[in-house]
Amino acid sequence: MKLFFDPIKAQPDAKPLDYCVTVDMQLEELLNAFLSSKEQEEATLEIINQFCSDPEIIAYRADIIEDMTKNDCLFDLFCELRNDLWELSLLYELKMFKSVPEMVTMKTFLIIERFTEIYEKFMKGAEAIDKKTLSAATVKILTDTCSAEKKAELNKITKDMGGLRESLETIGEIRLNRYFSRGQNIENSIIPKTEEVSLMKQLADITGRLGLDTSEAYAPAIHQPREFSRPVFQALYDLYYDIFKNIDAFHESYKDVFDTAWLDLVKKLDAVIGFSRIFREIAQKGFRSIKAEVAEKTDIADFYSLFLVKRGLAPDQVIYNDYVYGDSSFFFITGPNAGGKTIFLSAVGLCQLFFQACGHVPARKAKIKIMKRMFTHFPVEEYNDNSGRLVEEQGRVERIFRDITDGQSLALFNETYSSTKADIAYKLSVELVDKVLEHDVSGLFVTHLHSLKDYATETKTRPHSAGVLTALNDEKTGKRLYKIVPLSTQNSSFAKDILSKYDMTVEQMLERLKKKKEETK
Amino acid sequence: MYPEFDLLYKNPSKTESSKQLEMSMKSLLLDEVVNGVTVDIILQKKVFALLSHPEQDIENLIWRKEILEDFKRNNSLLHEFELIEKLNLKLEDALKIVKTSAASVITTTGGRSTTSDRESSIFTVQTLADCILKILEIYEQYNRTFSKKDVRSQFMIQMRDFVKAQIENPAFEELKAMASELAESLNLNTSFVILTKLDKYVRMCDCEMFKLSSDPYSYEQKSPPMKDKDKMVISIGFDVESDQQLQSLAERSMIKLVTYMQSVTYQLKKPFDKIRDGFYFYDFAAILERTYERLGLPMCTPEFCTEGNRFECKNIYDLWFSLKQAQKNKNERPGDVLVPNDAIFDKDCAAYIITGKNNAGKTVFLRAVGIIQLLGQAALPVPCTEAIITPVAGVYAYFTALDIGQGRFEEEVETVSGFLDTLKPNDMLLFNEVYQSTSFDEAAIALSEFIAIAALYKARVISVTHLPDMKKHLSDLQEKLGFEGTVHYAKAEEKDGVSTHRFIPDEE
Repeated sequence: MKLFFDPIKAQPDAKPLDYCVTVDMQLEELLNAFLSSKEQEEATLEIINQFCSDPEIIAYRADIIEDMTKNDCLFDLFCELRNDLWELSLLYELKMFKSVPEMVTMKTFLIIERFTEIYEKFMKGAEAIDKKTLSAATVKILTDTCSAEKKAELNKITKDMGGLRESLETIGEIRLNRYFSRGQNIENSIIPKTEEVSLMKQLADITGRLGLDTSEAYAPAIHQPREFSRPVFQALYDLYYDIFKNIDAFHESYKDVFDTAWLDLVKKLDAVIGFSRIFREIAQKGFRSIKAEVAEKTDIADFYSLFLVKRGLAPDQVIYNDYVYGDSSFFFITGPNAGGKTIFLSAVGLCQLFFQACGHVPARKAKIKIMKRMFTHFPVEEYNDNSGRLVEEQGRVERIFRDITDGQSLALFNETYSSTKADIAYKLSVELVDKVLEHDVSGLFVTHLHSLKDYATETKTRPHSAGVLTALNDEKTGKRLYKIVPLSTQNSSFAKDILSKYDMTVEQMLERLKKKKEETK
Repeated sequence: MYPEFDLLYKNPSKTESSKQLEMSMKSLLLDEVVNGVTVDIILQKKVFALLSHPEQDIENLIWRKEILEDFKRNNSLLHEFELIEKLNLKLEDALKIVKTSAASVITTTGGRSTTSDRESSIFTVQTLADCILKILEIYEQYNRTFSKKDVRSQFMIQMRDFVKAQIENPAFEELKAMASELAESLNLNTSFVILTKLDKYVRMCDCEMFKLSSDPYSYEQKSPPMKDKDKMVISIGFDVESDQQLQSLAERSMIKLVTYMQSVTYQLKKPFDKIRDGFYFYDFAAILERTYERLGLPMCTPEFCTEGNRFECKNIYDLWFSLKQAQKNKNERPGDVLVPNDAIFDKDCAAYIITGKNNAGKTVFLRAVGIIQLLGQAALPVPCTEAIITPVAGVYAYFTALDIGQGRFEEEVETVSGFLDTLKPNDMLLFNEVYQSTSFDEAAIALSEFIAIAALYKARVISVTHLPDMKKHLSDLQEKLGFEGTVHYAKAEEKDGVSTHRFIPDEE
């Protein structure tokens, strides 16, 4: 049986994402917020961290994810397949098959039996799906599964298995005897179940008729199924030789048939399902997402941060932004506090990551340049080793530039160098951006240093220049608009605005205290 | 689910203690009253705890009253109950031993089962079987007891019918037979036959004890291939791993059996577990009645009323004072020499103010009221000829140390303030010379204000006081605050300048 989620070709030597990106983009938290299982989180994160840069692979994945996002039957089918294969993998790894070699024939039968059930179920589901709206990639997967050849193979197996399960089920219950004489254990043996009623059941019956609660009598004495030890299994084998000899015969024919690669499919399915779940959920909430195109210059229209979706905002409450490479592909972002700059920055990062993982992004339209490398730098707490934040920032920036790929790297800096005095921060920032432009790195730099706007203007004469974006305020009310646009006139951070909005000025806090006292009277 | 029979509560509820209640019981000398009635230390402790938390649920009070009547009507009934409960105590001791040995059933040892482990499991099953027999015997004893008695209370009838129904159930005798067999037949040769269920992957998914017997199956022939009737017997052998596995299954099955047998025992005995907790009350009631007789005091069982706030008792005596008198003068019965009074606080009575000379018996009167409320509100007989009382949430008494010349105003205010925190409608507050430690005028206003606030909240203050102008202050406050009802005033009666120890309405 051939797998059908093989990568269509080997991936080029893309370097995986730096761990800092995972932390700065809060990928684990994001995936945890959208996905219901640890396995899905891990699988999707792994794909994201691979940071695939092959357009063919990205397009292939994008098609499958699009189908999974839009087609409920297809999505359910693959979810069930995933769960079934996961159970099969647990069965495959049961300790008893290793510790009791005689059970190897049982293993063959049990695995093949379960696998054929899974395959039949999947086949039935695949045949029932309407393929008209599906991509070629998905259609190929489904039709390959249901090919005549596969069906014939399955029929043969089912025929050869015929009756084995029914005969196994006749075993049902067995009696294990531990026989003592004069306090010494003289016999351990096994018999098939007899007609008598057990002591436990007799007691349960009598006490039930007395009106007592008998649930404890019927609760299982074993919480996890236990595998037989070798001698016990051998005794069972002898007892039911007629049944087990048929299983041995089946094993002889089928011992090399099952391809363990099927078990690896669980993880691949976790990733596919994980990405699909994310985009299905945002669609359910009324947000848009799109299969992005590969392009030389990035142009994303009406994108938004997935974190806002998770926070529970409705589509009409979110402010959408655009991100366009024009003459520049590297931009400063300035503007008032809490104006949406960091959200914008991280949303751009997430768009790039999701695009290169699964081809889909949270936006209305998207053309995105594939990057070979991606870097981030968000503020961290000071280390307790007396090195201070500035040292960390400088170290990080150096590491970034060691790994950069010219013209194909994305870097996102969030208030880098804000931990030091303004003049030093300016100097270091200029040095940073000089390097960025020299290596034709795309990206964003959120900063409060308004003087960097002037520096940006100076770069206009260079082969690669820096642009400026700014977070807008309502001119009349001063209210935050969360809109980030190419503009460079804003100079103040409006800290007091923020305080007033949240009733946190001194006068307001005094008023709040007076009311509180009256309420408790 | 089996019912639980409780001699004290039809509707069990949690009671909460408070600093104010504790202080009040001290003021009323409740501990001395209880200790004066009985010398049994355990009884003293339990009765004191019960009386200190007034029972508000009238159903509980009627419950006790009816049971008390049944115990009075059937002389030996309480004693027979106590004897049967001794069996229950022995059963509990046996169950404690079982608990320890049941724990050892769970431990596993490597290799062949050691004698001590098996012995322990077999002993546990035997003991539990014995416990089941004991509890079944308790049912039979109760049934025999009831068959000879004339019981009319709800409690007794319910219990009688329950026990009878269980005994008449055929399963009762079947259980007895099964328990007997287990108790008698198990020994060191007892073998374990375990029934194991297999899942679809041929793993063991459940097990239970099929048989415990020294001869668990019938061999048709001794030589191989062995058979149990028509079933083939296949030997497993004694290698460590399989022996361990079988031992583990035997233990699991034993745990299940033992656990269930314990559950059966506890379920069967549960109906009677609370009975023992109530004996002390009825023992005390009997002793109290004998005390009243000895002291020559009248007694009656109060009627309970929930409409309005009523305390209407005629010819009340202070039990504490009577006990003290009896100690002082063994030749006189206090009931013959002490002066009874009526304490009538009807629905309309918003507050009750008592004035009069010292040593007129005002404190005695207050305490009598308090003790009667506490005893009556436990459904115990009270020392008066007639009694109608309303159950209250709190009986608060504040007897300041005026008589010995102490008392700081601030402390008093703090204490009274504490009452206000815990006060509920219908509560009874007994104040004896409160606020005497400051100027009379200020004190009178302060006391009146508290009484008025309490009245507004429908709690009744019964206050002994020397403070002036109380009538005027309370009248003004009633007009200002608008509390309902009438404030009653009484004074100590005198004849020829000598106190008669009676209290009459003060209509001045």
